[in-house]
Amino acid sequence: MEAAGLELDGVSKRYGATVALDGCSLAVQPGRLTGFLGPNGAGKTTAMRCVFGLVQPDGGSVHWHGAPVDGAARRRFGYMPEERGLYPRMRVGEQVAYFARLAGMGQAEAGRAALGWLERLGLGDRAGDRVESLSHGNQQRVQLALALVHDPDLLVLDEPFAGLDPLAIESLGELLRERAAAGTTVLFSSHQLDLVEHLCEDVAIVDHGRVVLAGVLDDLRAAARTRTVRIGFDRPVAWIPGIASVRILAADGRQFVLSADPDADVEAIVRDARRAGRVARFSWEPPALSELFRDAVGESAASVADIDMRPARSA
Amino acid sequence: MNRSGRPASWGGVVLVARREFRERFRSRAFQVATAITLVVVAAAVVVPALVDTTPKTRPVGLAGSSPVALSAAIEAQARAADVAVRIVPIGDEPTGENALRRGDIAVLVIDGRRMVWHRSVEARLAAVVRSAAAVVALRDDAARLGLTAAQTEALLSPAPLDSRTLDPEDPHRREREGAAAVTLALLLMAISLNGAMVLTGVVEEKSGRVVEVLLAHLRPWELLAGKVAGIGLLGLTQVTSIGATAVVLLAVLHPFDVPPIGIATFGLLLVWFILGYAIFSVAYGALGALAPRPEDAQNTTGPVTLCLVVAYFAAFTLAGHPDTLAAKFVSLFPLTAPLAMPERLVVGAVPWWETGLAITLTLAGVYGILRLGGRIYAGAVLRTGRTVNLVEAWRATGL
Repeated sequence: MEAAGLELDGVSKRYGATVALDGCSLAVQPGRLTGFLGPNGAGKTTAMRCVFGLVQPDGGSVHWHGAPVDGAARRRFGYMPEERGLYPRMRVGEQVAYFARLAGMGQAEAGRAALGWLERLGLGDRAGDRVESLSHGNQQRVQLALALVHDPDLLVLDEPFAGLDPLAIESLGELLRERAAAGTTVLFSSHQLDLVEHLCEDVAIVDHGRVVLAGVLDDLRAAARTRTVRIGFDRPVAWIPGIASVRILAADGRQFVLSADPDADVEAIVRDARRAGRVARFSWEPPALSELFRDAVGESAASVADIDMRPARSA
Repeated sequence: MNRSGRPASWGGVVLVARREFRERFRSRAFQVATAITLVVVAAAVVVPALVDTTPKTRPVGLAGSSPVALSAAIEAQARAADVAVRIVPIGDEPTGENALRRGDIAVLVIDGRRMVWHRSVEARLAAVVRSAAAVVALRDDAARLGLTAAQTEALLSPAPLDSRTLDPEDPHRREREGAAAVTLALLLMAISLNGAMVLTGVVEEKSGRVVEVLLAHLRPWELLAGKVAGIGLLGLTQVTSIGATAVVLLAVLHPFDVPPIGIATFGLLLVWFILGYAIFSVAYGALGALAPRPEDAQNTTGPVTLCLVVAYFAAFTLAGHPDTLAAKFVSLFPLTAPLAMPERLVVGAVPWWETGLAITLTLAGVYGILRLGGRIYAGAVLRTGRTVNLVEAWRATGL
């Protein structure tokens, strides 16, 4: 595995009695999309703020390509905080150019980059308008432009998909993939697990201030201690699986989602199901990200995603 | 604690300052406020120039058989008493009374013996007429007793009394005190208005959350210093242009007596504006950062406003006694000097070493408040939700 671009090593931060980060360690690979997951209050935002020096950790370190992060490195970082913020009365183009200049670009270069990104994000004709005259969605795009305008080496986005419509989610996902393909290290947090599963090669799950599961998503799924079985009957049935290692995660009469040991006897499960009714669909696959997430942070986590009831994909 | 490894970058400060200056200069609110202030200042100079404020000449009507010498005697007595009079010959008493009622004359003198007034007696004018009549009568009596004209005049003008003043008062004292009061009020206004702009700017950036993106690129002190510098430059432009307008109009129109205030004093006043603004705006910015919402900022910055008001009253009260120890203290202490020293400068001469010492001490104060305020600002500006207390902000060496 190549050297990590961004590395958090044992980062801790407490606010009075509240522990925000408790030895959080994380490695984000260059040129890849990494999804940063965790329940509310797990420490995602604090960890991201540490990267930008917005929070000074009590302990641990943050490295960029092997060296402690300094001001020069941070100029090559782009950040989109969870709480969006823009100057409402400033004009869109000038605002984006201003942040480009703060990141160290020259005046002409900053103006060009600002217009280029606004064009790219579909706001080319709004450059002369005040930010406050833009719709919520368009302000969100301006916020994204602030993070991208200086073509950063590291892109950190806190909940970038929150509040977007499906088309905007699609195009932002495409944009992030393209950035990663161009060599940018991309880390973003999200509660939309299916989206992360769809977009990201790598994930890191944080809970109570520490990373509890991290790595290449496919590897994590393959290494899971369970397999997910999806069985669809052609009509509602009353079926209780008769195999010891199999338990029901969710069921609505026709669709059953089961959890099984990786070495369970697949044939036996199918035979058992057939005794209840005609099996129309069957799949055997590693657990979805939502299941990995639930296992990692425990059932108590407030934001555990519901078990995915969509028709099973073919295994 | 500073972020490690980043060199002090004045570039960031300049970028922030330029944004503040440009955005505010172009705002409608700023343009309207400046225009209104210019009009008010111009009106304050132009209107008195149009209205004649010289004391009115009092017309004195003479009716009946006035002694021939009476007009001359009234004029002579009026000159001595510094009252401007004009003699108006009147045909008869009823005509005179009508003239009185119309206000054409201030007093009607009949036969050199009786005075008639309209509604009330003007004491000084009455004294002038009375003594004039007495002089005329005295001359008549003297002539009847056989004195020569020269003897009469000698009798009427006794040997002059010599007089001298031990500590002559500055002839411009009243004007100087007036100018000092106006200067003080304008300084207070300029410092608090521009300080309030810094406060609003800080609170808007915090509550609007743009500060988090800004601080991903800038150190907190760079952001605060740039904001203070940009708004200060704008304020200085405004104060200088308004001041210059007033000075030019005063020089051209001469509406009232202006004390002789030199260019050097004017320049020093600008220096004191900058120093006072620097101290108070940094304090406003730092304590403003404690507030989670704009409406809470009044509370968190209460001490700064109080300090400014105390400085104003200290300067105002002590201006009349510039030689007391208390006056010296408030004109040297960094928090009161920016208002007290300009007051003393306008009222009268201040030894150069005192001005120098006051500026040095205040500069030290500015540095101190930058360090102190910068740390509080840094510790508070990213903490949202509720009012941050000073101790928390001080301890959160997060930035």
